[in-house]
Amino acid sequence: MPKNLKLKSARAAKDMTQVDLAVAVGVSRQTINAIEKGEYNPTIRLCRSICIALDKTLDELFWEEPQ
Amino acid sequence: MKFFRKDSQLDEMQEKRQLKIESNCYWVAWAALLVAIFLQQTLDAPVSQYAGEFVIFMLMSVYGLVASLKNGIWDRHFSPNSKTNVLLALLSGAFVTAFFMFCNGIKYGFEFWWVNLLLGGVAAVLIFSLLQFCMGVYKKRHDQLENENEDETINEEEEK
Repeated sequence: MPKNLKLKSARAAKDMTQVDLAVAVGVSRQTINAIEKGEYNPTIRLCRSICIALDKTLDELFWEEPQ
Repeated sequence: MKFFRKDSQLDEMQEKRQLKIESNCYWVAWAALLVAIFLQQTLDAPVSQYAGEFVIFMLMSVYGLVASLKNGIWDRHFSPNSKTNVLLALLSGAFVTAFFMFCNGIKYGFEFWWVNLLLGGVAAVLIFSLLQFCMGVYKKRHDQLENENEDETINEEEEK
């Protein structure tokens, strides 16, 4: 799974640390870290919570063009 | 300060990893019990010595089997068909033959090798029958879950 750089940049644009985002969506920092590193595939429920916390759409953060 | 919470304190990724750890523990315990039972049988220990291990081993196996069948799940790697079942039964039969050949060979010598072969054959037939029976139950349950009425499923979800 590739790194999720879109999530990382959206978080940075909001001036949030991984801890801030983790607290906002109710998960641990290691989970946010694993999602950004592409090591964990989150559920749609968590994706939605992250999108709401970062004011982004699912497409903007999680959509990948088919290869 | 609360030291116990009924609801999980883990997030979804931690929960998934915890389940993986618990799954590994289950399989290590299952394999260790099987080895312990075989070892004690090989060493000619009385049944009372390993009855506890056997009961736990059977409880684990039966629970795993029943829970999987109930959820319409067969196996990650093996396909549910008679050809695979024949192959698995033959492998199991060969293992049983080798096991008894070794155990009985030490005690009584190898002149009655055909008895061990017969035991392996009986085991293969029994295992094949059990696999076929379980496959039948699995297919029935799988079809039932796949063909469940859509409206019923939605209503059940709403009730939960």
